[in-house]
Amino acid sequence: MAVAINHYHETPISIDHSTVSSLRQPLIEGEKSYGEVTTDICKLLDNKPGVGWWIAFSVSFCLLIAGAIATTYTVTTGIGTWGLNKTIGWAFDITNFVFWIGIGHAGTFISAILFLFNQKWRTSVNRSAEAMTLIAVMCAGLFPVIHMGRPWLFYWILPYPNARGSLWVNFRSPLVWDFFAISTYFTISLVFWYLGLVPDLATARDRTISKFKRGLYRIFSLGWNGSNRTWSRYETVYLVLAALATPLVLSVHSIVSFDFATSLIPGWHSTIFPPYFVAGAVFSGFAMVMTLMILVRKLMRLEQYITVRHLENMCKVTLLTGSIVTIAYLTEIFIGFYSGNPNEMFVILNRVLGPYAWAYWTMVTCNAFVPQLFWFKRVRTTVPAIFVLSILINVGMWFERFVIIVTSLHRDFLPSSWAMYVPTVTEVTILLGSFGLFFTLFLLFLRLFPAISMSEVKGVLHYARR
Amino acid sequence: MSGDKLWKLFQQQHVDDATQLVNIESAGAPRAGVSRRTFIEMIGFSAAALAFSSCRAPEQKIIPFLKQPVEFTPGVASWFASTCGGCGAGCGVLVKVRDGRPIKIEGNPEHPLNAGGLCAVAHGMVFGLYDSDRLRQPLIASKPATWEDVDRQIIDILAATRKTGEKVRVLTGTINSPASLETVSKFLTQFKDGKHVMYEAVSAAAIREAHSRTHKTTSIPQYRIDKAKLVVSFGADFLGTWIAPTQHSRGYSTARDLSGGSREMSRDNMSRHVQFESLMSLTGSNADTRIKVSPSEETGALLLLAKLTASKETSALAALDESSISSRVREAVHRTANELLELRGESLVISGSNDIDVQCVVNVINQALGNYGKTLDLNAPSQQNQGVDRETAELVRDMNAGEVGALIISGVNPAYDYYASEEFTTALAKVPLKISLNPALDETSRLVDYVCPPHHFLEAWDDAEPVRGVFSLNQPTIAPLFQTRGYQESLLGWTGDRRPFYDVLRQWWKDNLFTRQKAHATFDEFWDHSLRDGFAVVQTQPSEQAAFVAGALSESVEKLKPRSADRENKLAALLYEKIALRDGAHANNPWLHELPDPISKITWDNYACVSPALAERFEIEEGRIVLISNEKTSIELPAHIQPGQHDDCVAIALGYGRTSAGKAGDAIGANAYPLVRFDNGTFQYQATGITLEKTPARVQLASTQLHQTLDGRPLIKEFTLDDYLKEHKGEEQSKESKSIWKDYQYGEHKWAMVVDLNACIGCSACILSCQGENNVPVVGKDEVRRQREMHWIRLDRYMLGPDDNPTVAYQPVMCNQCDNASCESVCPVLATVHSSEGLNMQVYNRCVGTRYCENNCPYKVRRFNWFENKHPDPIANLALNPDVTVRSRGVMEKCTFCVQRIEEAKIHARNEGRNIRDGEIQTACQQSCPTRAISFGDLVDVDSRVGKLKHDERDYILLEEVNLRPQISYLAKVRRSTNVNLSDQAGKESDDKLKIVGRPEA
Repeated sequence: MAVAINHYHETPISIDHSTVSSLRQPLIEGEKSYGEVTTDICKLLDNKPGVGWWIAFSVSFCLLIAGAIATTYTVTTGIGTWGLNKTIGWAFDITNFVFWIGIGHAGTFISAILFLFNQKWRTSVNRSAEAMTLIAVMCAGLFPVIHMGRPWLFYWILPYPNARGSLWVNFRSPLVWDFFAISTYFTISLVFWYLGLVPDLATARDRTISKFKRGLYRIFSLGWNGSNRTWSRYETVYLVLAALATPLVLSVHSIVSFDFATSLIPGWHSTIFPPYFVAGAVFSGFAMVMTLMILVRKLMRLEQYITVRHLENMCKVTLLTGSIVTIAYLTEIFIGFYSGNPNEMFVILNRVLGPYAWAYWTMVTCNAFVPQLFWFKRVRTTVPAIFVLSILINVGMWFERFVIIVTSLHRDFLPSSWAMYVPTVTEVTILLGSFGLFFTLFLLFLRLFPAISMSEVKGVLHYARR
Repeated sequence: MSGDKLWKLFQQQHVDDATQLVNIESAGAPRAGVSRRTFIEMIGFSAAALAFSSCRAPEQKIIPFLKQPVEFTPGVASWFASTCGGCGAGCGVLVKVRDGRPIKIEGNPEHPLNAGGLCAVAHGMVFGLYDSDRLRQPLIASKPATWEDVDRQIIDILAATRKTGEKVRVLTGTINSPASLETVSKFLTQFKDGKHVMYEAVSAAAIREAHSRTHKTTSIPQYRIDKAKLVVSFGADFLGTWIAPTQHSRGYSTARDLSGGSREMSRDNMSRHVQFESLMSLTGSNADTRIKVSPSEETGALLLLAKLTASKETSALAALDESSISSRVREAVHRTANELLELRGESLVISGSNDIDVQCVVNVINQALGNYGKTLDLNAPSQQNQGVDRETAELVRDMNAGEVGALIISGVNPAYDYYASEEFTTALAKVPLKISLNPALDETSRLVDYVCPPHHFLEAWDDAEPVRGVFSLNQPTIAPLFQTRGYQESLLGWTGDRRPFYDVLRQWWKDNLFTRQKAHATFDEFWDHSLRDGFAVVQTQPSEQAAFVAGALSESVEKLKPRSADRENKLAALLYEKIALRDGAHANNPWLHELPDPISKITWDNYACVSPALAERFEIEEGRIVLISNEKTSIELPAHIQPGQHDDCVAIALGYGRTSAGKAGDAIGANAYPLVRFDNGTFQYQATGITLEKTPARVQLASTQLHQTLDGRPLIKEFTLDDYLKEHKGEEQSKESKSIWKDYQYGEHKWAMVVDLNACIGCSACILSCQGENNVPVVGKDEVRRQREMHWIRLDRYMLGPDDNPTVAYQPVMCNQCDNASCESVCPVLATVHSSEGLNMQVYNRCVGTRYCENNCPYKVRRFNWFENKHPDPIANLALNPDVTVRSRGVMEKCTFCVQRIEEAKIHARNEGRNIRDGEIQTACQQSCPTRAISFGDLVDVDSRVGKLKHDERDYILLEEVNLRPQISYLAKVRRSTNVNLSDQAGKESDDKLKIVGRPEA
């Protein structure tokens, strides 16, 4: 790799190696000094990106372009370009939507909930995870708009004062709740993320040589001066926001699950959905954070900040949430039969043995069996293994949403209307395009903002040091 | 830019707009003449003038009638009684004309034959009128010409023909219009050897000929299904396609009606229906007992039945060997024979065969049972299928021999549908003068010298006598769209008679009918009255009851015996008509192509139906292309696996594979007419000794229903009559609401519907009636393959029981207009809302197309506009109903209970200061239902028919457990003494549910 590492002229503060605790492992490896932390993180912004970044960016951007073309084609021609039919009104579109919303869960979970629980290891990953959240919610937000038959009228689902008499939105519709839940979540996540960025932006402001950049950083760092008073207020607000964001982590996916839970289609009509969806979302979100962090530490040479220990911790969360999801699967099957409702029983049988059984079993393998490998410490600490498993989990979680949506719809109450769904090239391209959008934005984030929260990392730098 | 130049411009040009003034200003101050102040004033004035002129709405000139015609209000429809020209059955219709355009055909409720019912084909006729592939002017040698040229040339050639004395032939389809027949014969009398030959591609000539043998009268009796307590049919699809299906369906449902009479009445009154057949027909699917027989067994069973019921009429049957018939069929025949003997004079035996010998045997049975004069009417015989196969064949022979000097073809297409079309084509080339009076440049018209396109029946004067004594009038409802001319006027014109056919028609009615009636004093009164009614019933002299002649019977029996004994495993091809496309004459009609066949649920194609066992034997899957050939011909078709069909036959629909039908109808399916045989004087729609070969190709048939069974779900309730009488005490059902929520409160109206599954025979006419009324788009074969057909009402068809002889159940499903509508709660933009009259309304211009409502609808009746349905054909667009919005892309649509009709009725009632009468509003599907299966009305009106039916003991709600409280309920089907036990089946099906689940669809 030809990634040039520029050593700044600053003299690193020498660290006495004997200061490292023999009992505990430090969170940040390499026994960094404050200055080294600043240098390591800020050089990502100052230096030219390496070949790895460019390759990743090119691939992502190509996917984004392909997705944009497919989306334009859909919007100009009609939803008929997709594989939907009179029986199956949603498939890839809402699957992708729920998938991305799920991905968007880990960020706020890591920054807010782990912050409240005083989990210090979160500091290395929270910034990227929050950025991932915002980008994933943006990707998710795309789908409810383009899945509409007339997407140019999407603003009709917003309750805004209008000149159509007393025409308002339907507050009984879960799609309207979705709008509120997601926009609230996005707003809080954005504010939370931005607030956390302020001290680091100030650092960047103070360091950068480019006048233009300094101007921008100056505006966005809100006149941060690092005084005690500033820090004190900052931390109070951060805590309050963390407390505010925490319930949203639970509410947003609960409400997304209402799209299904409040309907009457067997396979959708289920009270287990809110907790099941939240667990699934955290599950998939953490898997995605792991995938991304493994890429970032490799691509950006941040192995000392994002350590195997971080990954291991996230593996444990994944194992827990994966097991919750497994229990949900088992409960669904049990309740399906326990209900005595022939329609419910049929849906279960049809999922397990029907024409989409391959999708169901992909889902079960990836979501129920694969995370169980994290019981083994060797697996939890082997980076390539974590990388592969985290990708498998996200494949499984995508299929979970596909199974819920398509297998429930394709055979519901009246056998005369039963049908099959096969995606078209357009739909697959739009899905790939959403990944293109996700990675393009994430790679840009890595270049434009400090990818690791310097101020917070400095706070835990002394952890496990005497 | 110099100021001088602009100044020059200002002087030279006329200052008439503000643009130049602006230019001047931009160039600096004007030097003289106009002061700054004036200049600004001018600018201001001009700008204001421009702004005000752009404020005006675009100008549209609406020119009112200078003199408004009487009884004509723009925007209000007028209805004209007329006669359907879709086939020979001559059903009475009412044509809805809006602003000078016929937009809908409905059954004439007062017409004695169809009594308000109509078939699918009739509904498609509106589209046929606006078919832009119709010829727009006459053609000479396929080049556009004027009528003057055509007439001059034809008259010259005909004059020459008259001199040579060559044969002149007029070849038409069934013409039962007495005035037209007179015109044709008048045309022919000017020639030495002129003859009118009637040809039907799907003929019933054998019945006529058989009656000429057995009853000395060359006619087809009128079958009074309504009077028969027991109908035994041998392969006759009398509810779907045979002779006069709408009339038969009406009679059938009258004889089986359970919704009116008391319980004890129904036991006696409900007729019974036994069907012996090889393929699965619409009629067979409705039978109380359907006995699957091989094509040869069918003959054997008929002979055995004759032996058991009519042995005293002829001795020829005594020696019949029963052993050639399988014991299952033998037993069924014996049972049927006993029942028939009990119901002498109240039963009816019919056969769909076009074999004279078979029909002779049928006649003997009916004669022996004393059914003539009761369920078969020879006094008022049917004139609905007049084709004489023998004469057509003779004509082709004469043509081939070069004896025919002039051939005038009208309304038939033998170059496509004659059994030996190549022979016809070569023979036609030998005729010196060939004239076609067909409406389009079809296969036959392409081969002739002159094409003289006639009017569509909605543009023309005509009459019909479909059943002797019933005279039906046909009046134009629009001025001819193109330069066409009634075929009668063409023929008259060539005799030098330049009268319009209207005069001829009136004259005929004056001379022949007016004199025979007594109700009206003047002819004008009689004419106006008949025109308003659409028909006149004029009693004819009852001819004497034709005497029975048993003489020729033994010969027939001897001929049939070897055929029935032929039990080798030989495959036969059975050629049948589908309810929509029939014989293929209307093949350019996309409505008819997209109407799913009620049995196969397949659209836009014909196919080779094979039984599941046969498919297994040949290792054929659904959609596999197979090659069907005999020594004469071979055709390639996709296979369709049809449960209930006999293993010894392949069933193929006629009417497909047109090569010159027009843009909608070309190259759809394959032409099966070459498999028709001409044998023993009639066309035989059965080809024996065929071979079936599998090819490597496979296609996906465009089916609208991919899953055929109920999988043990209680969606269709069906009883045997005995169970029904036993279990139901005839008490009214009480349906109390047990909800903790308050029910919807309805004030003035609550619209509701009841669908009687016992009456519904699956004819699918409702689907096309709805399509025409509600501007439902046609989406084409590929979109149907993607399961995106748009029909607002669909006909669910389930096969119950074993694959080899299933019971078939039909269920029309449209929007159930639920009280607790699951679609309403999920729409984010309130595009689907509940009305104060119980309707679930779809607001098209509010819909953003999330499809959430469609997902959440358990009945799956909502239809989404996947693409912009372009309406590129300005002529076809004339068929659109202006009362109903044409939906745009990305919008959900569905059944509205024909809300436009409800509103129209409300306006009428309000204008007249009264309440809406029960039955005043008829939805489109209800109006045309030949069996009166659909009732619609107001539940607030306690005396309404629909309200009473809701308390019927057979009433049930589809998916009641979901508690959507729909306004539609169904009345359970009742079959007489079938062995069907649905609960048994449910158990059996759940056993093999896993197998069904695993079976991939499509």
